[in-house]
Amino acid sequence: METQYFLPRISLQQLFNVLEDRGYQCIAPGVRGDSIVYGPLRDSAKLPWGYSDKQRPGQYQLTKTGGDERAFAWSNGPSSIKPFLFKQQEILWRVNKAENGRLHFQPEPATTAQALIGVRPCDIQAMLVQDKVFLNDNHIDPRYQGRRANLFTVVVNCSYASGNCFCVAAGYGPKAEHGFDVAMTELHDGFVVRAGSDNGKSVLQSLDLKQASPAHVAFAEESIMQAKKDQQRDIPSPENLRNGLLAQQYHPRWDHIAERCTSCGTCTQVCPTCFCHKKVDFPALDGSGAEHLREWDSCFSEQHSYVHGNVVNKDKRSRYRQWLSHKFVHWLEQYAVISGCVGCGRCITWCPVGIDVTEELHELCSESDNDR
Amino acid sequence: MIDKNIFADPYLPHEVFVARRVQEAQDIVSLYLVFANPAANLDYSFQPGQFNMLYCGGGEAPISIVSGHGTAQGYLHTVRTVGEVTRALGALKEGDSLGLRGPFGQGWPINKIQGKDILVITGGIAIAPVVAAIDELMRNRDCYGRLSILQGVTHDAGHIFSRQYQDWSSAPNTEVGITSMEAGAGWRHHKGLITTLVEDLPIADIANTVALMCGPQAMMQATTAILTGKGLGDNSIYISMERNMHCGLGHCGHCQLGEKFVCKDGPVFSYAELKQALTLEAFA
Repeated sequence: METQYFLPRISLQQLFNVLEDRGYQCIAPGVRGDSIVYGPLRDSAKLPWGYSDKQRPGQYQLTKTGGDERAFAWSNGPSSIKPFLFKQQEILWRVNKAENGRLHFQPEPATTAQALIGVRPCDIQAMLVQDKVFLNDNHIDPRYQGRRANLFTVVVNCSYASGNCFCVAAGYGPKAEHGFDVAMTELHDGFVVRAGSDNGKSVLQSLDLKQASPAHVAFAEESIMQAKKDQQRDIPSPENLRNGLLAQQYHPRWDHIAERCTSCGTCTQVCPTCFCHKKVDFPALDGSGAEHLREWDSCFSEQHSYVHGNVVNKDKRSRYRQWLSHKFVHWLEQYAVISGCVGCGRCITWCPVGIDVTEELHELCSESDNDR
Repeated sequence: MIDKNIFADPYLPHEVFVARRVQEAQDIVSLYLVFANPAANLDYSFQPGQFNMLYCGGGEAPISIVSGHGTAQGYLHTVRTVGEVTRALGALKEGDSLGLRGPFGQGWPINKIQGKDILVITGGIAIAPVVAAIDELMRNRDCYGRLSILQGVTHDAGHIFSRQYQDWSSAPNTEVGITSMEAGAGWRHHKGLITTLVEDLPIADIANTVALMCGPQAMMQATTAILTGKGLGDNSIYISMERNMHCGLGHCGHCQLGEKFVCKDGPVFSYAELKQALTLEAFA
């Protein structure tokens, strides 16, 4: 077991400072508008101290905790850390057209060193899932690879789960076990911290911390247990998911979903593992070249499966089915992961009509239905 | 010497030139492409059935590689001009510059089918991804059994590569069947659906036969039903699939089909691999 240290609350800023000194741009959560989102942050005082959230299907509400004001008493916000590694929109390359018509393709470099502080365990797990997509054998995305190699992560274990969290059922949370540089668990006077990598170890060493007391460690474990106990949602077993989602393509529940789903694609945008993207070419008005971008796409759009005047997934029923069966069944075969879903619950919270993926999975995959 | 850094980014196109352009039909154009970097032209290689992403003002499109092996003649890509990018490709002139990255995907199981009788069944422009495979069979004709090449088109004007078909039909132990649903007076081939040709085709040794297929999905599914009815196993039928593709690397998600990505795990699959996913496709 990696040594656990205690970082007093007043010393949290030092962690930011050390990471900045080492050349990282610090990115951390903050209250912006009516939600908690990640962005560049240098001042630890601007973390969401004293804030929590209430989440129900189709609902997100920021709340004040009062009393013991912690920085990470919330579960998650609409944005995961996905946009910092897999950009919502980015230039892949530029092409210049010379006078003689020759084309010159120039790659767009992407190598900023980022330190993500206050990452939720579900989002670390989602990052490890996305690693399998973009760093897959000999199919590597050099931009993702560059950002990933220059990334420092400070995960904060959850001590609270919202009404939509189901990381325990998904098989991933709520405690980060690997995939981070530093893991912290928040207590009322500071953090129990441990390193998860050599880089993390070196950063912790420069903070000159005392070892955590057994009481601190016990409190930390207890708070994580609380986040576990808070969770009410469950999903069917992988076997039932496979049987239900693949074998029951005419289940009436698909129609029931299609009647409510607006095909807006928000679930895929807030999902920390969804990776679909399209490429877009922006030609210069004077014909001198173009910028070639990629931007997030959604399997809920009609264009997603368009080929030669034909759309493969023609209606909402088949698109929703494509999304669910990919995430909960085929992802396992494609990437050897526990699931393509980490149980963050964002798709439930941010769905404008409050479609609850856990409820739909139960309706589609319940044992009695499999026996029909 | 090829700049390894350039080859290291699979998203970055290489500059190629149109060395020769042939208007095959009203909406079908052949482009012989030569790399601007002479070393790349020699080093580039592909497997029959693989494809390239071609970039031309407006975006990229996945296009099968018809032929070409490091010669000055260039790598042949035959394009049907149906979308924004393919229309731009079709409008290119000899000497014009464009982008190419690839090759991508898994091609035809050329080595695995040695010694077999082979049915090549294609529809329309979908002959393009199979030509390289037929060329390979022709180069080592003794290593393969009887070869039956069946092609169906909608209109007789859409029948391309007629010289190749003529060459193939005169090769040893090889037969060619061409059919068009609509044809004028001068049409010397069959009239009607490709499925009729397949139904009527005598298969001498079904246990030693494989089929290579490419065409519209409905045609491939109908043909597969006929062939399996004749006793051909799911593992002996190979189909080349077409899906929306933006990357060629299994990253963009558009071509996901069950547990496969058509771009990197295909486009060529055995029917056995796709059977379940294709059944589910009929969901809508």
